[in-house]
Amino acid sequence: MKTRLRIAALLTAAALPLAACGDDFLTEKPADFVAPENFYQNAADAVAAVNAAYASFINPGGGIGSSDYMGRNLWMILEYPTEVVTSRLSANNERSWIDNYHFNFTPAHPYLLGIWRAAYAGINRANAVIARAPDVPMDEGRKAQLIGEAKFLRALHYYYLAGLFGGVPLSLDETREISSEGKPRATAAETWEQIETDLTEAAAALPTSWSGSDYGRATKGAALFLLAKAQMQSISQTGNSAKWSEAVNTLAQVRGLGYTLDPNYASLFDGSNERSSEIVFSIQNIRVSGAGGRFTEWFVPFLTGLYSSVQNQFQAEREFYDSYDATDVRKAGTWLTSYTRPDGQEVSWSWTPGIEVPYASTGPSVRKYIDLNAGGGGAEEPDVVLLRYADVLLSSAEAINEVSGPTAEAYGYVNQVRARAKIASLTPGLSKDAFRDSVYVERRHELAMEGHGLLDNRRNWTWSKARLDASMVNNGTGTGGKNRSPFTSSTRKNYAGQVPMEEKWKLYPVPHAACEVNDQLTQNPGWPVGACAGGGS
Amino acid sequence: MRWMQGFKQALVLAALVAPALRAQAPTGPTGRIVGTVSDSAAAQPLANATVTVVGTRLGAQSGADGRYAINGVPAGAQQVRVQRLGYAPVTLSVTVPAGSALTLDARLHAQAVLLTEVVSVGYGTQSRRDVAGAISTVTTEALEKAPVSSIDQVLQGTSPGVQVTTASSEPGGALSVRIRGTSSLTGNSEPLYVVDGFPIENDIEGSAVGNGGRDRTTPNNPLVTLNPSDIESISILKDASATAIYGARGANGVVIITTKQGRGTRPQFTLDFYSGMQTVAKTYDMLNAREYMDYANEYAMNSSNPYEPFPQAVKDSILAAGTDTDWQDEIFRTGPVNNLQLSVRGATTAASPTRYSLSGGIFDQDGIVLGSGLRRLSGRMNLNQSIGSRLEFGGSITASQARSRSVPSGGQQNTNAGAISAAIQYVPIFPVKNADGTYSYILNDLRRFNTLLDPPPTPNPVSLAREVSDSLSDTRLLSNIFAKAELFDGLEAKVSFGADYADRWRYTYYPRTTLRGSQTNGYAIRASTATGSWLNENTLTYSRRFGAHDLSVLGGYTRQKTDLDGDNMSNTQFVSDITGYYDIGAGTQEGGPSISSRHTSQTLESWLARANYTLLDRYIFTATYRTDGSSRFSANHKWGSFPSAAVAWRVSAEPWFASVGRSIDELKLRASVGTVGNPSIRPYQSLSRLSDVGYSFGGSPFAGYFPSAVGNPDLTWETTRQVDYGIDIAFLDRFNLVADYYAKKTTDLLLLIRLPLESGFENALANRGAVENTGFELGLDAQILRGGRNGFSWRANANIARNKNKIVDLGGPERIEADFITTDYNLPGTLFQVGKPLGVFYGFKSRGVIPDSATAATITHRPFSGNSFQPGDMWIEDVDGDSVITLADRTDIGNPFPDFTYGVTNTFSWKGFELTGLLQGQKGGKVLNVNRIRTESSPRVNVSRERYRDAWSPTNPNAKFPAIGDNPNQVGTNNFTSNLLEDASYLRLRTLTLSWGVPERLLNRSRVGTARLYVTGTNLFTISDYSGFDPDVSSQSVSSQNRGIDIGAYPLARGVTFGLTFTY
Repeated sequence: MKTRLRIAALLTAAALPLAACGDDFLTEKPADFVAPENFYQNAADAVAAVNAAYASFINPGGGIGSSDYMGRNLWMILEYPTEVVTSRLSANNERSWIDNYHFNFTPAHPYLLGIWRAAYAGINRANAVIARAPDVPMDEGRKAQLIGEAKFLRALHYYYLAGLFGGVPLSLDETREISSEGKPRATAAETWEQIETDLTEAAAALPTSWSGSDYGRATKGAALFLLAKAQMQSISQTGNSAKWSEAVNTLAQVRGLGYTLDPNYASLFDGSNERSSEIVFSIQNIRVSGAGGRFTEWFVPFLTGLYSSVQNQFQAEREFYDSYDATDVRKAGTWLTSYTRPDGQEVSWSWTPGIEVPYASTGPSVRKYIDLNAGGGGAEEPDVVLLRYADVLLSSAEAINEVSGPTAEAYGYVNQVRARAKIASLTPGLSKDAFRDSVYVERRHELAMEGHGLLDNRRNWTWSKARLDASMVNNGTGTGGKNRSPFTSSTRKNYAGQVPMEEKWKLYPVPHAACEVNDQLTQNPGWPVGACAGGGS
Repeated sequence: MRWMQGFKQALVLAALVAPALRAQAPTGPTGRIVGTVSDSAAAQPLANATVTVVGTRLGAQSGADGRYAINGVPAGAQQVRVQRLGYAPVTLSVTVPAGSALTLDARLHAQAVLLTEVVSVGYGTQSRRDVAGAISTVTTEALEKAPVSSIDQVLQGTSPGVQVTTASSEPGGALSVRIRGTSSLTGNSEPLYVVDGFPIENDIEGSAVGNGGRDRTTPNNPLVTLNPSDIESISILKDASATAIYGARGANGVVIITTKQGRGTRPQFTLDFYSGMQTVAKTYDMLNAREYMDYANEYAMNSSNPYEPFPQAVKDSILAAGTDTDWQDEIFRTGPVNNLQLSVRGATTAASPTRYSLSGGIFDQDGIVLGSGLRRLSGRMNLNQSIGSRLEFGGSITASQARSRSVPSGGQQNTNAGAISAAIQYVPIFPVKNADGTYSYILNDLRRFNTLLDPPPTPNPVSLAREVSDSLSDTRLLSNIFAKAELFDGLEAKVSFGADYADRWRYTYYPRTTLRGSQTNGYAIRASTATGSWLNENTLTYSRRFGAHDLSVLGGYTRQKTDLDGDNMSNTQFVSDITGYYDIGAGTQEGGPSISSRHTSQTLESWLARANYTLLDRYIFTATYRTDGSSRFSANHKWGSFPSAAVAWRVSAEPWFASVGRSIDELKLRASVGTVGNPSIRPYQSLSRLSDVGYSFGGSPFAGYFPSAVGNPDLTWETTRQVDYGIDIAFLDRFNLVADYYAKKTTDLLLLIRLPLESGFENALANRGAVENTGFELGLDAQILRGGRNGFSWRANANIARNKNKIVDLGGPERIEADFITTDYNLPGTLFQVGKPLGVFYGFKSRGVIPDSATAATITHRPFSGNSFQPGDMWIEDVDGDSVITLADRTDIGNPFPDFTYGVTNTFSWKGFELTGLLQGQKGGKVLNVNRIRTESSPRVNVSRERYRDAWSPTNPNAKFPAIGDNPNQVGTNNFTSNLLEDASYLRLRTLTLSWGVPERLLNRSRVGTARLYVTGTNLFTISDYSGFDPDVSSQSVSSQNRGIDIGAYPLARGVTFGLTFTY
């Protein structure tokens, strides 16, 4: 009996210490990945977090394709709806639906969804910085700058969201846990107000410039200029025209920061002059896979052997291409009609007046941002310029005209831009309305394919609608009509039943898929409501 | 490190206890028992009967002559128990004389098998009679002599309710096992395997090492390292009462494998050897050179811009040159298979006997496709030492290494095509190799004739099979030690420590002679994982009979930890192919080699309990309870509890029954209910994580980290609640029937739920939705003819099962499209839809070929092209009724799951001959034969002969296939029609073995105890309407989505092996 007790005691003794291990045994400790628990510890972590927020424009990540946002689709959404470019695709293609104000363009269009997802994913990256940086032990000055950068980036996402959709839900806190509870849309006024708040705070925190290895981070000038643009853009949605004079003041601050026009227009977009004093803010690209641009595939000419999968998805509209002044350097700076292939062969093409060019050939394609020597998509050199001084000047002219009419100062800004383009000064003595329209025409020529087209339309709806309606009028089959892209299969902005353009295009519809997972969302006027029934209201 | 402490303590314990017990060894006088065991009816000697002295560990096994001998039996009154599978056991009382031998002959009475056996129930064994849950044992006799390479192959057709699907018939290829249906959409649905008490989660996809440089490959079989020849018995736990003792891992069923242990007295040596050949069981009937060119011409002339790819002169010159390559012939071969197994088992006869079982084996198989094969070396040792009658130590160690050479198969259609896909597609008009020694290449070589033929960039199949080096290695060390002590009468304590170490690697090299290698000047990949797992189990078992009460209680505590490390590297731009993957650094890839690594760790801590109580030998109650704490579960749900209960009533033991059911030997009614879990969450999935992303400032790259997944602090296991009603009947002394009905409902499915996009995340893993599985199972074991005067006997074992599964809830959405079937086509292949079975096929409904214009005129809707349906077109149904075929007309078009699965094993014996066959099959279910997308359409690849011969034409209006030029299988570019779905029903003679036991008189002069010679045919025939190699296929996945899809699956092998077994 004694022996048995001994055995029992010993077996128990063997097992018990194992049972006594605490809960620690079951706690997961991340090993091969970074988790919030082991990140945001020091200055390097905080900087890495804000770097990722910058990358949200070209690398949305998290299941969102790099084409979904600024890598391509935002550009299609922002540029197709103008009279400047067309998609070369047939009316059956979802890209043409954007281009044509097509009846097939519905709230189910995948590009709207992609932009919505990518912008909010980017906003969450910025929110993470804003939420986590305050607790990181680091230099307080740099910390304030980091938070300023994040606020600028957050405002930039909201600027596009508000410009496309009007008032949107305001996510201002980092998402840390799962919730199916959606936020309702803020009003347009609240949304623009939030953008202004972020930009005002960012401008206060950010330096006017960064040293070399930090070049490309947001600056005070970037925050102030985006603030001015937001103030101007908000008016068409909120009706608060007091913002014009605020914009005049903000723009004056930007002009005081020392930016100048670069004598070489084309160099601003080809990667050779990326730190020009004209550039206020650009998306930084280098020829490193994943850290570079990805426009070339979509921009380069069709079937020219330049690129493995050539797309030429942005094709100059014939009438717009022909509308440049003969001496305007911006025509050649914007459009490509010849190039030298890597194997040395010269390729060139042209439009013969009155002749429709067969599909296998090509008309002018976009020159801006393409990298003929890049190894592949996602590794292209040219930075994508979002904010530059020529826009500051034209915006100044536009805002001053709204507040005080076409003053000499306003004329001066336009003429600075025209002089750099090597064309004559603007006709003096224009009325306020005529001056406004002239500034918009100037913006089209100066800023074509830089992501302003649609937003300009919405700021001056009557002008742009008339211009689009005119170009959308069916010009017949045959030759010589206006607005003809060179491809027989491409569509014109004259899709049956689409003339005149409907008022609903003043805002894009909220994507149905976003409403499916947030029953608080409401739909914009004129668009199918679908799942966007909008909960409470 | 705490387990190390525990380990040390166990050793200290052993050191202390051993001397204490020495005193207990009995020292009195001993005698011997010898005798013969025979069949009472046939008067034939019975081999393999176990004779034990009750209350001791003494025992022996009868030889071929039925003789046995037990030495060292304590003198005096003893009880001797004689048992053999298929016979009723007998217990005889004897008095053993001191110092001399007692002769005890036993005559056993044949009885249906299932009643008498002992089954493993998890943390213990139970007599079949006392089991209240649903547990099957596998009838392995049909497969013992068949060339099966892994233990999961043994399960096919041998047990009701177990569906085995072949992901790849390649040697070492994975099988997918479903016990009572599929209860998880996204998680692992493979059962838990428990090998000698060590639980091994069979996570086929998770344990795969790399992909060999291809987008999608069928994973290797992680169970291939376990040698089926070492198996003593297999128990399959199916209902919740049985599986709940494995708690959070029990939902997919549990397969308990017990390996051969030492027994008997004198050492018994066994040599087992077989050798054979295998060939492909079936091939596709494709066009020869002349027919192909005719087809191409006809096709091209039917197109909107008619042309003639092979004008007469070209045709003549090709035929004159004699080129007519049968590409399947070029990659298939006759492959040898060899197996040698040597073992010795026995026990010492001392009062404290040592029982031992040692075995070593080599299995070597060349696949029936060039370049594929498997070789396994394995060794195993089981050792038990009894110290007196109350203490026992033991351990086992298994070491094995499986090396396989993989041929790219199961692949996709273009550059990623495997050798099988490519061989079906390659056109017969060019040779394997061109005159300059390079491999022909369809893209270039077919374009030479006509660019309009637009051939795909599919690599040459022979170049894939011959040139690609794709080696996989799986080395496993599974070991276990235990100490067991009977503390008081009926109270036994057991402590065990186990370790499972698996080292896997896959090295792949594509030389320049392959398409992939030529594109990058060689392509080398080295991927490896090392998994280490340790386990500590501590159990206390108390068994006691008090009068009419029979009670057995188990309590236990276990801990397990598993670490996994993985590395992956690849490189390109090699100066030459000489060093292949051995010198991966020699590549000069721009930016250097691609390198990645990973590490995961998971822990499990559990308390378990079980009580079995039998009243009056007829009212049986079983209750189990397990609580599992798992690191994989989220912070708020670390612990889960899994209870179960079962009752059974042995009606036949009622005193009144004898007068009612004379012909019924045993009648038992069973019912059980319980809850089990499926912990398919991978480690760390409940946590938030950040991912890195690149951006640049000032022209230099910088890293960034962003929140890429939001954590779910509530993430937990999938819960399956199961009820089971069963009946066991033995009647007429020769039939034994087991029937079960069950209903399982699995809730808290792991699904990616969609989040409001404004959160910045699209989805997160959460527990939502529910799936139901219901079904019945029937197993019948019959001793139809007993060895009578002529010695002829016939035993049959049949099983059939039906399972229906249905998605009840998807946590919101009505349906979820599963993964794309292939990246080539972006075919949205399968669908999860509420109210439907899991993973139904999703495509257009085709209604056959439109025979004539009268029929065409009745079709009011327009086809996808927007024109109108013409005679000879494939008629596509307008499901949504909008008068035009659009993507919205895709619908659920078929179910991959069979209505029934069944298996029948028949064993006939006559004198020394025995004929055993396993027929196995399924009824119903669909297979999607994606191979036909290519082979029934355009001549850019070769075309099946049937498609050419039975094409619609005005003179052949009731054709099976549409007019040449029309594609019967696709609508638009990315969608398939129900035409590709085929009935997966089949009946297969899986094995047929004829064996002959060499009569003893012929062996008298040798030292050989028994000798048996046999010949086995494998897959001798398959009856099926399936047009591909084998309807038992799931080449894209072992998961719940994309089942039943055949894309270049490795074909089934048919073979014959000859073997012999010697014991002495």
